[in-house]
Amino acid sequence: MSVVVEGLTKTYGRRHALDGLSFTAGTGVTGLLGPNGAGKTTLIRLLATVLAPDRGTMRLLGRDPATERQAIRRRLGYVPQEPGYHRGFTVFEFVDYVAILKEMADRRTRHDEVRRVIDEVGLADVSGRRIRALSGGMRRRIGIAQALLGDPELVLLDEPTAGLDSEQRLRFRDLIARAGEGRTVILSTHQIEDVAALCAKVVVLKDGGSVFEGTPKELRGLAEGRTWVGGRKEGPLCRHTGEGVFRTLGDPPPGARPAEPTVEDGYLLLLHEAAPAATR
Amino acid sequence: MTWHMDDGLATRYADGDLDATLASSVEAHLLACAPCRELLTPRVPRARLDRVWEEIAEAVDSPVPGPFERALRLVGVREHTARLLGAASSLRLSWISAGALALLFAVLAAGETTRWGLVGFLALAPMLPVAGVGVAYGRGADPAYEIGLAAPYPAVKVMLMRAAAVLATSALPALVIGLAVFGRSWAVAAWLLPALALTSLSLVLSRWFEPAHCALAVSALWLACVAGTNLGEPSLAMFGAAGQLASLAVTVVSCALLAARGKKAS
Amino acid sequence: MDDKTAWSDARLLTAVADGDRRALEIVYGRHAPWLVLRLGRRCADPAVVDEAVQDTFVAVWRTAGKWTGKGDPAAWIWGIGIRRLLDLLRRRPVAVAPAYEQVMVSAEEQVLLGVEYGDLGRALGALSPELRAVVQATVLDGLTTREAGKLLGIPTGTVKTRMMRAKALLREELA
Repeated sequence: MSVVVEGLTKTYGRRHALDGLSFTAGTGVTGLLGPNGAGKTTLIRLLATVLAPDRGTMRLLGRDPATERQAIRRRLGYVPQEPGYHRGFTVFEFVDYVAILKEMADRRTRHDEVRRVIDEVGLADVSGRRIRALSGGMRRRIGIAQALLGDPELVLLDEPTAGLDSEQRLRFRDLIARAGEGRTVILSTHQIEDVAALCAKVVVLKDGGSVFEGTPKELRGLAEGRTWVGGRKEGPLCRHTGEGVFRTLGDPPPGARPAEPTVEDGYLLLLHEAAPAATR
Repeated sequence: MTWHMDDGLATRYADGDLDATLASSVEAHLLACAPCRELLTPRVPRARLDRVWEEIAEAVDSPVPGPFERALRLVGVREHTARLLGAASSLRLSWISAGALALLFAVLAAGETTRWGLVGFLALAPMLPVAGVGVAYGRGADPAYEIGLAAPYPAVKVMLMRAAAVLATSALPALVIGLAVFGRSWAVAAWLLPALALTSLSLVLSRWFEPAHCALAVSALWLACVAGTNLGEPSLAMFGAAGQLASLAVTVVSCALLAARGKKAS
Repeated sequence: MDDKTAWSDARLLTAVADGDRRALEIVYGRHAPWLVLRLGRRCADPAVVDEAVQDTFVAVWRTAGKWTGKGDPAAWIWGIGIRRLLDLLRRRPVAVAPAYEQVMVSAEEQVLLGVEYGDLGRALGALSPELRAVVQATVLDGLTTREAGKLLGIPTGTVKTRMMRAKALLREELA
């Protein structure tokens, strides 16, 4: 396992951003799901060695970030939630700048590597353009490009698909799937479809703890036999569908018939029923 | 166009077997005929074309350094370090010259020959590097800051290098302005130690707060001190022996704290 | 996705002016081979030719915006290429320029020439190598008198007098 996290706690003032979180992740794409404020970004920043935990242990790529931070950083790629860009830089200049921060000193080999990652995310055409002239989708791809510099073993992506239209999202999935070949990718997202399409493993966060760890199929399985359509609107887990009928999770309302669950059904049911993490 | 090259002619042209006059005909024709140009493509080794293209790609992609970055290269700073420094907005020529101009106008407006003018100059000059350092790094100033935090290159090193560069580039114009306006006297250099003290203090504070806010707070503190010693009469109390000693003490303590932090980071 | 290979040169150059690296790569693929060969006939050192070609396309990248859109882009690229070569030759001892050496002209080639240039082709063939080299450098390669002088390694004045003599001979030949 390239990521092993145990009992991770991080507090800001009196607020517990993470509260005794444990999970593991190996090769492939692992999705982090959870409502806003569940602690996803805090977790990603801890994994990126940007923050240090108050309590708990982490082993990243077999090393302890408290003592071997540099060694981990050399094998790490990180796309923050809102990556900033020097808007006056060209795509190449920006990625080159990050490459310098990644200790690639020799100019020629560095430039070759920059060209490689820019090509990999499909931005070769525009590598000479200023970032301010690019669309949001292209800027997101710059974020991925810089994370792939130096062929890292662990890649952390904090909501890389936020704000993209559906076509851009599909292309992004491709990109992430390719990035997940042979390395560990941790993907924090709100898009349950992304998780269903990409991830070998899902971790669901709630109130700073993990309430589920398994495959997307297992997450969907939670709603197996507990998903219903038709009937009256009843209970908190009942919502409109496009066809003018209600979709209910949990106990069947009168007159409803069973339906095939989705990963989203499993996720919603889980969030509703999971006890607030840990007992405080 | 009434004729085209055939393969034989193309080969002979490529091999240099055509006489000068005929070759000239071919060349004149080539300028206007894309299909015949294409006939020549297989006559040049692919490896040679690829090699040349690699060089072109490198030249085309390579970022064009700004004037400040070029100056750094000239004094022997290495390419990648110069890049890191040049990315800071307060290390661009526009910022450096704007700071110098602002200082010059402020001094001229205060009346350069009066003692108020000198006090004004000495009070403002240390704030130039503080402001420059405040926008040289940190979350607000550096868009790639968060990415940089997770990169192996120590963020503290970037911060200190940029601070040093800002100090150097703002001290120079301030010294020149001082000499030009006030002539040669000890007073034109009396702001140097306060500048070091304020800059290092704001660097220490930036461990906990946004660098721009630190710069603002330190500057405000400084102005309050200067104003406090100048109630009614212009006075150089802040820049006398006691003031200089106090500045030195602040500088030494701050630098010790920074050194400790730098050691911890690497 | 990669339909840019079908674009016209003019459209590609517009894209290059807009910072499109891929467009530059396609322009290079189309125009580098003949440029390599043609410059190779003016300079025997392939390293110098390669450098000139490299400089040419870097210049195309930086100045594509200045291309007026009139005339064939190939002619524009050639204009840059031959001048870059001159710049390089200026910095080192002049290399041999095989294009300007005398080669026997066969009857069959005379016919081809006649098709392209008519009587002028035959008349050119009749000139002495020195005079023809000057005509080629100025008229065909589009160089100025000074540039031609640099390329051929002779003073500007000599280029002018040879050009005058060549014009007189050609006029006689074509009369």
